[in-house]
Amino acid sequence: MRFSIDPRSPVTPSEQLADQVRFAVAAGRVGPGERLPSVREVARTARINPNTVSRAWRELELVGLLEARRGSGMFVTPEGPGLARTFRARAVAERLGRAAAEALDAGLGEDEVHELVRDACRAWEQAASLGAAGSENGADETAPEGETESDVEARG
Amino acid sequence: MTRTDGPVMESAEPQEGGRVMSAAPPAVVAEGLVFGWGRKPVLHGVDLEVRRGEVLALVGANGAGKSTFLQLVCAAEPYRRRFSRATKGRLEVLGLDPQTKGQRVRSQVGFVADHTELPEWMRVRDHLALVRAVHPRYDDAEAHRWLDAFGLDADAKHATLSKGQRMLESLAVALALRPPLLLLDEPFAGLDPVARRLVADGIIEHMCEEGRSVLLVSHSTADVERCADRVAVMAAGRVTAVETVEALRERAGGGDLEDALVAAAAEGRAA
Repeated sequence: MRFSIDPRSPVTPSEQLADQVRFAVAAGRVGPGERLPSVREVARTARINPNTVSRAWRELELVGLLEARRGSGMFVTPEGPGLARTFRARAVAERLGRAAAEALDAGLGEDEVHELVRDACRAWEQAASLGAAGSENGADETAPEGETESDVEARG
Repeated sequence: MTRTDGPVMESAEPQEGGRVMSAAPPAVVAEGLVFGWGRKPVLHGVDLEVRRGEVLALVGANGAGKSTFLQLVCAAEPYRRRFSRATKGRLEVLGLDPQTKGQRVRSQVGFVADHTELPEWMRVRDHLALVRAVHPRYDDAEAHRWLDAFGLDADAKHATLSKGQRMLESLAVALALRPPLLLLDEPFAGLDPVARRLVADGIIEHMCEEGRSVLLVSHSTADVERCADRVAVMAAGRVTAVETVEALRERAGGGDLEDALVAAAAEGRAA
């Protein structure tokens, strides 16, 4: 599991990390009982203060998505996937809602908005069938606005 | 090794799921600290606490007293007899008074100044030998590991090092001490993005050990945001505001953190 932080995003780094974990769990890339990378590993690879990582893990522990096992790290709880899917549905609905509102505000008709969403879905299917790679990365799903250069850099 | 003064600071994965709060004294405590190099005071009553396990960034205008404060904390010049001493207030570093326990404080603190005063002919290797001779915590393998990570040649003379390379060289030596407290004076100033990133890597790696703290002075908002847990704003010899980076970001409302910092500084001045 890899994480990447966009320092220019208005979302705080610890929220970005928490989101990436929620999406990875929702997508089943990390299952119940599986261990998350350690605070140090994530701090080093995502190049952020370890305290920021701890904060994200703690937040996920508070909502019951993760549990700490003494001395061995953080694990996804049995309820984790359900919680993560609820979160994902809410987050995606919110983002789509914003995009739809923007389109309608800009004067597009409802049919046109539906058409655009269908096109976007088809484009995604095409891209996915061309290169099945990249779906491993938890960050991909959480960056629907398009990756920034620094994201790519941070991973390299 | 990474032993600190406090009890039981180490464990396999210390920071998982909530921080282990240790009973060790804070990294730095300043209360009403007054100090001046001559007759004119520079610090007019500084109140500040740097906790164990946090990165605190000290920001503020030039001449606000940031570097002076850092020098008091690292138990350097101010405590030479010919300089004046802190005239009022209390300062404790890792639970010790730097005025009377300077030697012990210095042995646990890594200090990187914003400039180096090493002779031009000196090779990086000579600098390491010098530190090895005087510092009880110095770890040679660690120093070379950092030189490699920073792309520095141990045989290079200081004269041939760029500003950024000198900063990285000093940081490599400081990190090789695995100090419980790391003090950095403008570690990002004038560095290119690659060097800035390496400095940030050094700070992050340092913080991956339990109970380590960093006090850094910086004007680089983006770097402060990336590395720091809390920010202390200093103005006219006082700390006028201390806030977490998250709180500052919230205050900025998704805008520029720099605006939030300026606002915090202005509020502090008004109060």
